[in-house]
Amino acid sequence: MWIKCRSLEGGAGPSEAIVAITRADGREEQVIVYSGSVRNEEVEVSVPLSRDPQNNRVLIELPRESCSGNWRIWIPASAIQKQEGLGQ
Amino acid sequence: MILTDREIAIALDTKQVIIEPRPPEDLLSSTAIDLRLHRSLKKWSPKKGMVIYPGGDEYSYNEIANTLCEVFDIGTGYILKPKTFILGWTKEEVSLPSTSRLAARVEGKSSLARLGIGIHVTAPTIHAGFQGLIQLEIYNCGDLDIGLQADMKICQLIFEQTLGTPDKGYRGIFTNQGAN
Repeated sequence: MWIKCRSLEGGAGPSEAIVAITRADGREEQVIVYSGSVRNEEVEVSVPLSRDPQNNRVLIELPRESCSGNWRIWIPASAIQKQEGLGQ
Repeated sequence: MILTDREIAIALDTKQVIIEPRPPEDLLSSTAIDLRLHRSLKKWSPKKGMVIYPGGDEYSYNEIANTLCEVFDIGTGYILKPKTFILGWTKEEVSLPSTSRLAARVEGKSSLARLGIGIHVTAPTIHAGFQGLIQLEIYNCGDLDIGLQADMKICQLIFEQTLGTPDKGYRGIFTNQGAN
């Protein structure tokens, strides 16, 4: 599953990229990820682990521990990009 | 349970673990596989009076990385002075699919440890689903100048079976199933 992100420049090691993912509360989570998991301001993450329809948000697990130490964050449901080949 | 050399080879053959480039057979030992040092190293250069608060709301790794760190090529070798710290990576790219029921730990090698070289700072876990080069937090806690060279055997990877599939892998299986 792909979600929206913002690519950040610099600081990454070989085969790494730094991206910022906007959380449901508006704060940004910076994550150093495998560069192959980023494309056109989108990053690949796990499928939603939990949904909160009332607040229109989903719980995801990040590909790696974020720079501030989080593995799982709530993101807006609207951040999820359409999946190719699944007709969604 | 820790995988033995035979099980590691089977896991590589069946793509339950992917290591590129695949290490030659002589890098296997009874319960681990050695990985080699990448050419790139990263060094932090502190600024006097600057304090980093990783738990603070304003903390931005990207900002401090752009300000304080330098990535450089190891060249013919890099001398790690006593009591200094540097970031490195494995030459090999490792992939642990979430559905493989495997996680791993990156650990040091005794040959380097006896010279005072550690390769992680309390963060050895390679979680199920990991993909990429493994970052190494290399520290010289001894009193000798130690030369680091590209391709040297720098760490070992120990694979452990997980009890079950993590949630992300489990749900992923059903996500990819067709509607029929």
